[in-house]
Amino acid sequence: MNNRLHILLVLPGVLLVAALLASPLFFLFLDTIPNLEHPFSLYQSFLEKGFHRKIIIRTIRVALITTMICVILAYPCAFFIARYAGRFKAVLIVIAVFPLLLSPVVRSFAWMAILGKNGFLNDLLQFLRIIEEPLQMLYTEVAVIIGLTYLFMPLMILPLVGVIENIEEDLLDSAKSLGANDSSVFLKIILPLSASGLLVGSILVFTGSLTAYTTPRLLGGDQAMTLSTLIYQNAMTLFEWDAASVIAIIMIVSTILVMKIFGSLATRINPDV
Amino acid sequence: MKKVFVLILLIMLTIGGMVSAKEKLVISTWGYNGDLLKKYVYAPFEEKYDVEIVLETGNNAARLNKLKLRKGKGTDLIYLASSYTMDAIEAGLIEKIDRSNLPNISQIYQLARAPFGNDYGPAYTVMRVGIIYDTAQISEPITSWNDLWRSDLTRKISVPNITTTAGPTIVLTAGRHVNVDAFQQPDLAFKSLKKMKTNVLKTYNRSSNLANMFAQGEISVGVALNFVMGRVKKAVPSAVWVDPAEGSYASINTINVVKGTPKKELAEKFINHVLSEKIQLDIALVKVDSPVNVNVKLSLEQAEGLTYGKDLIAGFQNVDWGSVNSRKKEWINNWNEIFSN
Repeated sequence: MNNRLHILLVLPGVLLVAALLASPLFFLFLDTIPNLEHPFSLYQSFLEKGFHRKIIIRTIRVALITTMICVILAYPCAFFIARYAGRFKAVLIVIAVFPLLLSPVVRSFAWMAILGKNGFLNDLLQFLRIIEEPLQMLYTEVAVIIGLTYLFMPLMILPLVGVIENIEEDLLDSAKSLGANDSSVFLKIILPLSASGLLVGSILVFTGSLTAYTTPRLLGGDQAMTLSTLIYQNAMTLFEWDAASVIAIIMIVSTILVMKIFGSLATRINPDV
Repeated sequence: MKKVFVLILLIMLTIGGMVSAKEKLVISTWGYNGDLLKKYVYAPFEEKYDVEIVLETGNNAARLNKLKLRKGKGTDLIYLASSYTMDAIEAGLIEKIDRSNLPNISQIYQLARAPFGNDYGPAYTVMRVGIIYDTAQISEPITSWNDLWRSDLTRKISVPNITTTAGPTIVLTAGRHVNVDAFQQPDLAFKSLKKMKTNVLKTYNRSSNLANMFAQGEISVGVALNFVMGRVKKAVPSAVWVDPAEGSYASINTINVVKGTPKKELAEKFINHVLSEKIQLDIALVKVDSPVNVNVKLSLEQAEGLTYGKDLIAGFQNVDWGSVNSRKKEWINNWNEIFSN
């Protein structure tokens, strides 16, 4: 087949993707440009406000902390599932994916019942006499991070299981036979070889946390307002679609920047990623 | 044989088409209490005028947004809360009504007759914004809007978010607390609101959120529309409703004809039907909406949880929704700076 035929075969797919994926983004961006004289005036006026900057920083902070916690908690889970679960692997994967099968509203209400002043956790801590008065856990940033970690943990576990189970046992045995201890085997072999899974999981968790709407809205207080709740307010209450588009573009740019950072970190761990 | 079969099929399709060709009236409204509204409001109208009512449901913002994007096409009537009604009128989405087609308007409270001027639709129900508090948690009774600033209520209160129907009344209350008109001196009103913030654990967007916060013991005081009381009382039996000494704020819901509808006359008949004594009584008895028709008579038990009675309604503080709407963006920004900072 010649090149022209190749192009002709690929063209319909490319045009479809362009129409359905790229063009909405293009028009979204176009909405944020009021005129060619001051093309970024909407961005400027949005970023001028201190509390808008605070919301951007808070949203990125919550997403980053959630991603880090997911990495720390998901890695041992994925390692166990991939290496030691044996015939229970399928069952454990279903259990790990379970949070994704529930509606975000149900999940958040469950956490409200756990973290509330009359909730399970406060009752337990009071019963154990660790605290005297119930703690204010609900409607804080911590509650949002807990809710998001629970929600997005499966997105970290699944890619990690995939890469860890592909690490050949022989490699680990060879390293050990050459005198490497367990921590060296982990740092020099397992971690670099699972870097691609870490990268994919981190991007999925970060993007999900950055754009989450229901969990921050239900578990967070007013001071846990995030960019997605701000988009909703601008679009649905003020009917200011230009401002909502500006926030959406800021979210997209932030995601791309953080993905780049994650990518370069993963390359440091394993240059082949 | 084949030809006979095709003929029968064609006849059946034609009859089917004729059956479904009933005139349709598309109404944009809220999704809750659908079954009761169908039974007591929509079905009698469908029967009387031989029409089919089609509902478009959602919250105020989502429905109004949809209407704006479609430039009003495809919808004949719209139910909205006060502030959103003003928004719809300003967006040019509301048709002027012919009051001579709405004789039942003469039977409703003055405040419901023409809340946005004689050209636009009436209010079909009235609610009030007041205070709910848990008597088991708060020992000193709450009787006034000023009590929301009391030092013993730190982080015990929830107020409606500025973007909800009752939200702007909090700004008006904050102004009143320091004896200023929030429309004239918004800076002082928001300064006063900032002082109240220390008492506010969280603002809420849905009445179910408020009921949940009471149930979980997160809050002991809430500012709310009266229809929320039933839910809160179910969760916290020691909760009581307070109409503050200065007067509760009135909140109305309206029905309007959508601009450009080819069924204006039928839509007006529907509004008249909703305002009729029978429909207003039926819907009040099942506690869906408080009546505005003055001829509706309810016993004390029947009126529980509703906004009912000439004296009560006469004591309301009315909200100038036109002024609220013109300041909406500025107020939301100020509110966000206080509560989200």
